[in-house]
Amino acid sequence: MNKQQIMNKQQIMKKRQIKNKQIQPSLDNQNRRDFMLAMLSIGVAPLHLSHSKSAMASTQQLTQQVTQQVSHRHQVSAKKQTTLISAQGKTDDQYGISWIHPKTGKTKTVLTGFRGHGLSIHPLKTNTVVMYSRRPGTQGIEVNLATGQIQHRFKCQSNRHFLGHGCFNESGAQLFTTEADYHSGQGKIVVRDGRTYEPISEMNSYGIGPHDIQLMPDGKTLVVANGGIQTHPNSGRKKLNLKTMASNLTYIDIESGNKIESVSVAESKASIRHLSITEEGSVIVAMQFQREIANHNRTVPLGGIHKPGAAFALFPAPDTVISRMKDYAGSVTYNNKTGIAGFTSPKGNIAVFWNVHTLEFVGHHSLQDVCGLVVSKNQRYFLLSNSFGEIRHIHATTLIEDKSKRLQSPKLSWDNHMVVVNT
Amino acid sequence: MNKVYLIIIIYLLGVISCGGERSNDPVAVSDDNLKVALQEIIDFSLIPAVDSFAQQTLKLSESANTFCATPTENQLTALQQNWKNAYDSWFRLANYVFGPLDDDIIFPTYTFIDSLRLRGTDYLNTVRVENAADINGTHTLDNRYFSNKTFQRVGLLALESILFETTSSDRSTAKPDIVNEFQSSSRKCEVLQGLTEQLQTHGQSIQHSWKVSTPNASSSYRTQFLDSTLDDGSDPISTLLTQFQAHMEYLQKRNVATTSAKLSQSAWQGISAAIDEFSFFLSGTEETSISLLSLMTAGGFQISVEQINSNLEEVRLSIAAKNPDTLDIALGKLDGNLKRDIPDGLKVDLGINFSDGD
Repeated sequence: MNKQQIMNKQQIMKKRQIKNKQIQPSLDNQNRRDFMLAMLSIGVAPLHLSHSKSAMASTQQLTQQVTQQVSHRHQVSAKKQTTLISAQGKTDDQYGISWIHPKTGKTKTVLTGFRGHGLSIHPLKTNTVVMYSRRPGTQGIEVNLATGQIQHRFKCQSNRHFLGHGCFNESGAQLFTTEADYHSGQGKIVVRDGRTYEPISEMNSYGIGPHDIQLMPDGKTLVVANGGIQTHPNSGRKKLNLKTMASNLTYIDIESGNKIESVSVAESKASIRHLSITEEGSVIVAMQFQREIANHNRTVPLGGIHKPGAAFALFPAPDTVISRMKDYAGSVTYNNKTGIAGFTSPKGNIAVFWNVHTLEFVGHHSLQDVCGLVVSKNQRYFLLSNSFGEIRHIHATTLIEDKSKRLQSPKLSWDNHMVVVNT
Repeated sequence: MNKVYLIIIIYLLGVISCGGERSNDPVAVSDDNLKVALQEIIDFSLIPAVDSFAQQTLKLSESANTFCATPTENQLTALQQNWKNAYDSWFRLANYVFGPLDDDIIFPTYTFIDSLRLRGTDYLNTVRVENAADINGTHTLDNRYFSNKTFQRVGLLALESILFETTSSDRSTAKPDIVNEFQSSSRKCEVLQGLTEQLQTHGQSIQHSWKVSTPNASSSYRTQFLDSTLDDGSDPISTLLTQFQAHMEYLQKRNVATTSAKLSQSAWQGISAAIDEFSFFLSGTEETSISLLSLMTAGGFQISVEQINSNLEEVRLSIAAKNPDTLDIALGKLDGNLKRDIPDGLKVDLGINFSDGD
């Protein structure tokens, strides 16, 4: 092949190549059809609401603040500044909660003594965030971002462990945490006081392994991702029920604890784990497929959208895209302005984006070990983080990275999830 | 007095300059040594694998032209051997499915070479139908036509079908029957030449990207990769480890030994080539000065190194015995080595979310 032929080939490749930018795939209609809407069951279960309290031991633990100045510096603005917050750390002695101000590049870390996972911004308390330990941890903390102090520590009851997420009600008076009763294997939503984090009551999650939980826009309904996978503290993170696992997305009435609706995807080994809610009240789900127990080689879509009362729709994509995600979506978020949902796959080193209205795959961004994903407060960007301390800004419309905004904090390892707040 | 100081300074400078690392110093684990090992892997293993694939696909294309000029059994034998050589060289290269091989999110080049690699789906029936339609049709079989084909219809599998069996319904594998079909249908040769040209184009393009320049940069992928200037922020050694791990997992979980190259019965040879390349990656070639296993040994991970070598031997014995069951077990062990022992031994961080997400 001569040089001209090589150039021609490269030009063709360049045309085909749509790296890190918006794309409109026109091929693979067959794949698209394969992954289109799946009609699913809807059911109602009896009320399970019990009340319990536990003495929450308030343990004084050593915390350490570390302030770092990262390489990327800007002038400090007098206005409110955006803060990105995440669990971080690679080892027991490093685990903590860290936050970074993208404009200044300043970071702060508070050591926690446990590996955190999901976080919630407190609706009532200014500059306050709650972090939950990842499964099968038993601790949670409330941190003041202004002072860098852990203001509260709370724990599960003796036969419970956290599953990594929680959410407040609209007023902030109540916190709902996803927990597992590891004697019965039942998933629980524990209702806690929004200020003291003392358990007030609990309700059934209507599944095993409730992971993410969110408040629906009506303020009256919780939506829970029951991952379907059972774990026990004695066996760490070992999956105990893969053969019989059954994941579902369940809507629960906050007041009564009644199940309103429960839906599943057709693929029984797809574990619904993370959620993002649109302004209109649709629920975008991110899943993790348990390939080790699957009896087929097919790709399984890892993202979907569910409108209460309607059928589940999965985000179709060419096999090559789903295959690249390696059966694992770590985080999901939705941009209400652009109608684009983002998913991260650290196992595939990629963030991928779909238009939720057209169900079209619209772009991607490659980043090693990317997992944290959030929409900026002004909705102009998708923000990505990875365990090598990087944060990247992806323009929410073009899906092209703004490289001038790259942040690198080499001493930090951003964990699974990131939240954003204006402080 | 000043002279005394000057002499002392010169003496000290001399002592300092005599320090540092020399070629006969024992290897020690350090960032610098890891960098040398990495560069040697690229230059002595990866680039030769790229060159080999480009060369073998070129030979295959030339051989197809020769055969089509005079289709004989001897020429077919030579052509089939060239296909096998290209297949082997692909399995060497298939350890490195990133960069130029994985250059597009929807249409990655590697799938156009080996459709099985994407999900382990066997598209043999697809290529049979496609080849037959092309041979029996009346449409133009030009370069544009073949370059527009989807990945399921081209590559090594499509060529294997056209070279190792007849297109007729009896699917004869007898060479006289295959030659006879080529002699009686000029379109079959056009299909053969169209497919080999596409494969050759991929081989040349991959080579060009690795060695000269990539479509969106003026420097070679080799330079960008070794300089860690790629946009995805990937660390070169992490990328290589995860790619080898992905290939071992693919060979194991997709039952490649029993699924790939069934017509030519070349799968075991291909797997052997993949393992040879893995061995080069770990232990180096004759030109290597610092290998990954020597670094692990120097770092006190001798037991892990012995285990890895033992697992490699187990894989080789399984290949020699053509035993898919023992191969499955042995590849699983190598997969584990790549996920844990080797990163630990080299102090390479694959990422917490990658390793232990939730």
